[in-house]
Amino acid sequence: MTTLARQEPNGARRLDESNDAIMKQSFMKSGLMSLRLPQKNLLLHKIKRRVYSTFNTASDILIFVGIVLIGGLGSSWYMVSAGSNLSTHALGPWVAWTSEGRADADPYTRAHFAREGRLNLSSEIAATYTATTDQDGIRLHSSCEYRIAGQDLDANWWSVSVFDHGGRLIPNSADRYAYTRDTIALRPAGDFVITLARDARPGNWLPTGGAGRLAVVLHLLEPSNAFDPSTTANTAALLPAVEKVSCR
Amino acid sequence: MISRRPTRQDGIALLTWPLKKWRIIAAALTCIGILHIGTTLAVSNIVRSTAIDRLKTDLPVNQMRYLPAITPDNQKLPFMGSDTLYAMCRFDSSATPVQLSAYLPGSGWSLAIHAHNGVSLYTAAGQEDLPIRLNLKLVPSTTRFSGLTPEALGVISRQVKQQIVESRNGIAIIRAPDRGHAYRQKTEIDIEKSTCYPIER
Repeated sequence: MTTLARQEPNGARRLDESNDAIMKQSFMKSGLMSLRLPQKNLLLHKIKRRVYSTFNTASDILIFVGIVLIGGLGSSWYMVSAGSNLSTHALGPWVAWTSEGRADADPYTRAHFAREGRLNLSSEIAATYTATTDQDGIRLHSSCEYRIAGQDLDANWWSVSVFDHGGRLIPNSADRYAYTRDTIALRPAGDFVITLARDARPGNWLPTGGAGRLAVVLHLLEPSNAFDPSTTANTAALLPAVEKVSCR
Repeated sequence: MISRRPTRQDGIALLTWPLKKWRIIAAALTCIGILHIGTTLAVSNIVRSTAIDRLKTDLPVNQMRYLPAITPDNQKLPFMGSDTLYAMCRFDSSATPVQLSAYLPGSGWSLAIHAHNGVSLYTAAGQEDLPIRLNLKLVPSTTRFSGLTPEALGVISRQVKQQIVESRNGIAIIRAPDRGHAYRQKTEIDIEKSTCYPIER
């Protein structure tokens, strides 16, 4: 570390290591090295200190504003787009907004559906579960093949649809985008398996094309009380499992 | 580059920093909270177009319109599935009440009335082998006198139920399960039995 001697106004000479080190660092940070002036010039020294002080204050304010903006907007964005335990309930990979479409919905739910531009049925008579990950929590992607397996669901009516991550239907030559309680082929035991794959598969096949990230939506119209998370502990077992089979 | 090993004093300084700067931290947390609440509440109002705005162009006012089967080319809203056939009525009850008649012949059928902001005002679901006919009168929630209700006039109607909607405009949606090509004609006939029209005074 270099130390510089500075002439004080009263003529006394002393070493001021700490001030000098701070000055040096601030110049290095601010890129003002070119403004380095003769050290014995007191006026310029004061100007330098003033500039440094102003710069420090401004940077503190900017950091404060930045933290507030990132914290405030970021937390709001997360709560509106992904939800939390306050507004959603997650069952395995399936996530449902608990007060979807209701007049007494919380602000996060209202903002979520206003932003997405969806007009779903109210959670008073329907449940809409969305899965964007498989059972292992890995994002669904059209480059992989998935198996959605479950029992015939205990509801007035239900459907399973596949979309890209923006909620658009995935174009395919088979014109196949969903299976419902009426159109699905159940196995003799009363259960079903839906295969999400790019290429044709036997049985209940939903094409995923080259959509990229996927979202699978399960609609239950008037689900039985078994799906009420407040009354049933093991609701997750009632919903179909989303398992990865293979990836390209 | 000046570097040295961190000392015990550095650790203590780091730990006591929040105590020294508690005013700044409290101010930051308060500002974050205010911004979080403000942004969340504002999102509903600042979205460029609501779901109903997007449907406006295809829906005449106070008329039931049956939409063709949903495909990637005519999907109006995100996550609007092809598992369902839709009939919609964009109502505006500011000038005159609107009569809505919905026919729900079986399971999978439903009626939902949404306010302009997307909030669901009324929902009903069809039942297996139990056709339901719902007759609703949509009137705005307002202090303006809009005539006596049938009940006030002494007319008891078992057919028409008055439903007050919180906004003057919104959308009524009949959803019918699409059971495939073989059943589509039957479903279309049933879905077209639902009507929506202004009531002349």
